[in-house]
Amino acid sequence: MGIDWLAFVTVAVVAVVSSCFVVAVYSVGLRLWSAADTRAGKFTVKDDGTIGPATVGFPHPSNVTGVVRLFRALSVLCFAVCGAAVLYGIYLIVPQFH
Amino acid sequence: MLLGHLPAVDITLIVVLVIALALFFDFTNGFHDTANAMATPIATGAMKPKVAVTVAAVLNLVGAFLSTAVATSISHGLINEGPGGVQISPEMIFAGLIGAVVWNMITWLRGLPSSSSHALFGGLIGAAIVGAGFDSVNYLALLTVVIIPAFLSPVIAALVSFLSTRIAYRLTKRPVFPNERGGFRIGQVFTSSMVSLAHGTNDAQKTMGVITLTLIASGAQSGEEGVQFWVVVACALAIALGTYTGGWRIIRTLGSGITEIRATQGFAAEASTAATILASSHLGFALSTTQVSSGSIIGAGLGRRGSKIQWSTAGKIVIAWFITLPASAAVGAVAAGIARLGVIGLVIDAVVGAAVILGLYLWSLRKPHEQAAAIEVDVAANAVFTRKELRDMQRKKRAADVAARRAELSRERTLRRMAARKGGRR
Repeated sequence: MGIDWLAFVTVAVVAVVSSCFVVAVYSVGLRLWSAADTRAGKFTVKDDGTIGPATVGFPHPSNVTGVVRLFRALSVLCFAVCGAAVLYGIYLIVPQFH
Repeated sequence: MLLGHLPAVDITLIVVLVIALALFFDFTNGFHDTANAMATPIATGAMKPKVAVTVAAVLNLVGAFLSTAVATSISHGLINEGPGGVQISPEMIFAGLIGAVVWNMITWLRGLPSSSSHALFGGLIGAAIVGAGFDSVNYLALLTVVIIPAFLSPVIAALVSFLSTRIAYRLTKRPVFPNERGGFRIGQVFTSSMVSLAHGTNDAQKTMGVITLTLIASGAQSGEEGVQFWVVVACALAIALGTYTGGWRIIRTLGSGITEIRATQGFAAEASTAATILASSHLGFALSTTQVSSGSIIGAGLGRRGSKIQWSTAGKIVIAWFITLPASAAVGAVAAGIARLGVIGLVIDAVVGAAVILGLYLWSLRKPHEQAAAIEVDVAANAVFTRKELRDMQRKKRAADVAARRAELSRERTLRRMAARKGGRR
């Protein structure tokens, strides 16, 4: 029989890994972005875990410093990785590139 | 390569018929498959319906121009072509196309996503069996190209999408930070566009192959020449126009008929559709876009806790997949049988085919609400309410649900935390 089962397994594994990778990185990016928002005082988190209103004086002075900046930068990095994945996908789709 | 070639060649009736029908098939292929890429962003509100179909149409157009590698075989080895096998005549291609188009129209009318390429293969197989007997079909190829992928592609896609959805929800879990799952909407725009572009590069090429092989068979073009430029333009425009028209019935089925899709799920589903299609087309078997996309949506539905899947709808879709090949083969066989009468048969085929297509179209216009009610309950809800009304209703209900669940969850969470502090185990 000329059925190449290995090809199916390869496709499944590659699809799982690449899809999960992109989704995970994008999710982490969103998570970091909202973490930065929280640190900057755009939201508050109550003790029971629900979301409260913004603290007085948002944007907080810390909006441009330290942890907030770090989180924002990491989040942008995550989105950039996703963007690279999209570009690689376009590279794969367009036959002229290879 | 230029339009200038056209008047010089002898264009017979059959060639004209095949080209016209092939372009119409391309058109149905477009509107049948808009849903694969654009059902989820439309359902989650990531893109407005008109914007979504426009983007899809443009990307299909671009995709069609990007990929113009000549198809060496229309049937991907399903029919024993070439020396020692069957010569696929333009009449067979014509009959096969009638089968494919009619089946595409029927499934569209029922709002069922089914693979256009399987419909084309089916039509060609039916025509080949009538035209050249049962020996003309390569059954091993049928098994490996159509049947096994039909079983595996939804399963693989559902698995990929399930895991992706789980990961997405796990990583953006409430309530530690105010999550911004709305951000997944922006991601959806990109993932869906990728699926659209991939579709354009794959599917317009099929029709180009059909037309080019017909031109070669009729002697209007030599075998060495590539796809003629006017063929590329015509196919690209046909698929883009079809996509822009939008198969709204199928979009409804995929967007809200199977499960209620949210932005996170939509993003995960389209990301897995794109990943699965790219992986399959570069590493192994070409999987059907339609089946991968439906499987992904089911997987996304399974991945979110508390979401319900309409298994009856999913079942109907799966049944439609398995009927697609034999049904279009049957139509193709009948058309091929009539075509054997000669020119008269071709004319009868063309007239009857046009009448059936027109009839199905007119039927779709009559009483859309009752029609929809006969299709799906969810689809009916969509047909009766405008999108905005529906969204407001859903939003209210969702807000109530979320509030209730959040209160409950936080209580349970507190208990769990207390239990953990005491060193208890759960």
